[in-house]
Amino acid sequence: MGTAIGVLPGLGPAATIALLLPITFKIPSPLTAVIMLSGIYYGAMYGGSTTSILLNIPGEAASVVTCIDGYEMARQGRAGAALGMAAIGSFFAGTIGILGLQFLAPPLASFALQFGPPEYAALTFLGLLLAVYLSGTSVLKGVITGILGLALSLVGLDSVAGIPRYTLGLLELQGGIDIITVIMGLFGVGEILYNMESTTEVKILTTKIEHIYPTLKDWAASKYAVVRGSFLGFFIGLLPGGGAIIASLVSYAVEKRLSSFPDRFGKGAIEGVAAPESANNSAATSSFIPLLSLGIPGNPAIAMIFAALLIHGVQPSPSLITEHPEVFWGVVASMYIGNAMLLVLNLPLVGIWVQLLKVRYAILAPIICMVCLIGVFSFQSSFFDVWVMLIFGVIGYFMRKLGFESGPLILAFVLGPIFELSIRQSLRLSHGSPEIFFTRPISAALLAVAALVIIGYFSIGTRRKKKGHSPSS
Amino acid sequence: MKKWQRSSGYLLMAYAMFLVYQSLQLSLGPPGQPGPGFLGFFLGLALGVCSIGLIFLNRGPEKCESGFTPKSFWEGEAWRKPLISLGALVLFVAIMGLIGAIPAMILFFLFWLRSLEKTGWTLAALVALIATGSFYLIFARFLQIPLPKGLLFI
Repeated sequence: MGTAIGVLPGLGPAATIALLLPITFKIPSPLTAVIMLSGIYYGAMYGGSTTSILLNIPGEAASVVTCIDGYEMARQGRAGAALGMAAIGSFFAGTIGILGLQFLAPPLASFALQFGPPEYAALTFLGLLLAVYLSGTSVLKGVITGILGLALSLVGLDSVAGIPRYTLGLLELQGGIDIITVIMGLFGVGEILYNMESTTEVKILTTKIEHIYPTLKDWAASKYAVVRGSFLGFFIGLLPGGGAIIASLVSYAVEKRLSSFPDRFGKGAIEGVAAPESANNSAATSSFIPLLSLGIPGNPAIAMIFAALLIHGVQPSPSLITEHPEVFWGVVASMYIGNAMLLVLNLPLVGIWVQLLKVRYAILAPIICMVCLIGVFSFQSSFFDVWVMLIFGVIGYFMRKLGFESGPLILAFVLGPIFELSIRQSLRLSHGSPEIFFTRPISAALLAVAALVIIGYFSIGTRRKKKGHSPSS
Repeated sequence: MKKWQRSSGYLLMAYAMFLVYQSLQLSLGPPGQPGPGFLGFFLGLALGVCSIGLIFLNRGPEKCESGFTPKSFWEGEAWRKPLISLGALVLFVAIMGLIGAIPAMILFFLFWLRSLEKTGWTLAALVALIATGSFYLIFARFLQIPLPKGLLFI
């Protein structure tokens, strides 16, 4: 399912996970539900490369960079090698990511048990800052969407005082706005409305894929790219807001920089496929580490898995590994199996994925819309939620048109309650003094990193202005 | 485009003022006991500052290189299809409670495929029936989620 979602342009893993949340209600075990949703997430990373290589259209955002060299390889009759290298690189990188998750998450969770409200406030602030900084071309717009996400998370009953806030007097809003409604609206309906503007018909470059296994020469050219991409992607995936998209972009840039023949990039260099595809898979796996060890989701798709855990009564936090070891170790074990299955299934089934691409978007679009509508309705049998989703669909459409990224909004929406509660608890502990954030070592260290990020942004911006570039490019 | 960016700035400014006003109504509380309006107040202020920045950065007329027309918000009549799609969605939700989810779905698919995508009647009818049937099986039967039944109890 994840691969199919990755193959089909227009529906990303975050929206798909949101759409499938109602199905997980029927699954009694939270572990099974999370395994299914996680499989969709990293499966989509595998699938996204297929459309990038064959259509020059990324199946999902993390495969944008793969278009550059992947499509060129397809034009040169080497689609099979590109698809094969993407799959094998993804498998290796996914394995690195899982090993990292297995060995890093438990000690990180133990360390995070020392966290109090000031540390959580500082951590969520850093997470939001990184999400904004890494989101897109305009930091101002990223900040605006982050603030909007935080503001929307405040709607409903105040968790401390128990009074309704920002509800416009509507009873239906006293329970707050549902994350599913927001995601389906922004990423589902909003995306469809945006895509309806385009009348371009997509054509598959070739429907006959030959020689799906890379040659020895391909291996020689790309082995270090796979390794570097895997480790780079792993560390970037740990960062909130980092994730697969940034990982693939950075990995491509690094490979081009390190290459002895950088001119080959953009003209069908296999490293240009191997590196970003390895990076995005590794990042997709490592992005589970903040969720399962700290209880902090780092991107919208992980935020949906966060929501799924909550729905099933499992609170993501540093104590998840000790209180629900079956969930953590079950997810790790399933990832090993899923990773191997993706490699075994994807290469032989590439012909089927190609056929899937032939389904016209004209037919897919209303089906996706209906899934969003019925999916949201099914959550609480509420027409009000459906209307709210349509409003967010319109907001999502205009956000796309105006260049506002939805990712920071979703992350801020999810992290908002943690952020607010942590700040209020911290100020209560310190009797109103903000010094508490700077006198506790972990909190101070996290805020120092945040300050470095801000200083780094402005210093890069000043240098670029002197060179004649825009600061946010 | 700048005009639209400025308009979004004004809209955000209005929301910021709403946030600040509502937060003051809710009470910010003393520093040692932040109230329910505490974070909302500062978010409103921050949003207000950012929206002023957005308006300021998009002031003045559109700039374009000589020989090129500035990029418009909608190319030609590109707004038509999104608007009709949205209309179809709104209509579907509006009539779903009246006539029931199943008939509403069939009508929705037929309308979308015929009016927006100009597909033939056969394909449109086939997709409408198969898609509606699948939704019924998955949601109503398998997940046992009660879909709205209309006046005809369908």
